[in-house]
Amino acid sequence: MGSAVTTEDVARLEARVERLEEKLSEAMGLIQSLVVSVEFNDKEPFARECAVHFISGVKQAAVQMQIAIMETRMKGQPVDTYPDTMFGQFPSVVAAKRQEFSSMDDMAESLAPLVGSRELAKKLVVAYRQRGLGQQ
Amino acid sequence: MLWEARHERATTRDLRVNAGDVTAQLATGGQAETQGLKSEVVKVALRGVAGAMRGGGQKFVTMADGFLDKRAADVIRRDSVRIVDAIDDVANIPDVATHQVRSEVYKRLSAIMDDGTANVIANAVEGVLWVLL
Repeated sequence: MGSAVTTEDVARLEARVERLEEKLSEAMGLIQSLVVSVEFNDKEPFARECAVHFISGVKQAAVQMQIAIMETRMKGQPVDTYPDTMFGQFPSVVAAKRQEFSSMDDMAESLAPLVGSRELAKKLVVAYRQRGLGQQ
Repeated sequence: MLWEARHERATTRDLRVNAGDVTAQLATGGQAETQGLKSEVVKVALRGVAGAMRGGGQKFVTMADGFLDKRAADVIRRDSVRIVDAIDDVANIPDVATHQVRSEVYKRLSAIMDDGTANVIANAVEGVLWVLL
């Protein structure tokens, strides 16, 4: 005898479909970054580094935001227009607002919790600068 | 200077998603499903981003400073009308989700500018959107 599908079952399935859609879109974002970085190779170093290390979506936005904050702080300028609730799920971004940065090592140490290692953090900062981001 | 206007002051408060707008849109749509709500929030936020792009794009350039390079900023100032059209077009996709925004904006922008700049601006639109939501 078959059992009836409950509202909870439907909700669970909808949640699962939503998670799968998000994963699919993340994968599409990575493919897009790879296409751009392969096509332009050294002209798109930041897209390349993010794609190679599977950084996309909100995490890529958070990485870019934190590097921009660190670059601003490194110049001695305040970043006082960001509310702390912004990127609240990424504490290192919020913490960077109040930190002092005087070297690449300082920046790598701050960014490492977000990207996984100091080495990758340095690569991303170098790629961000090479691409000329934040330098309008 | 990040998010700090050089010639005019602009903060995320300028683009804060208005809960009243979302409620009104939901009421007219008649659907209060979770997915529908999320999509409506994304649409309202995207329209906020498009609004910041209007009139020459300086407000958006200021807010997305950390995401843009000089060329992308110049293209936005020069071609803001067509970029606004592309963002509005994405906002009109039924059930659009946050994680779709970058690729959908990129697809439309790469038809009117070089791929590298399209990628930078699409990233910036998505980045500002994540900040707003």
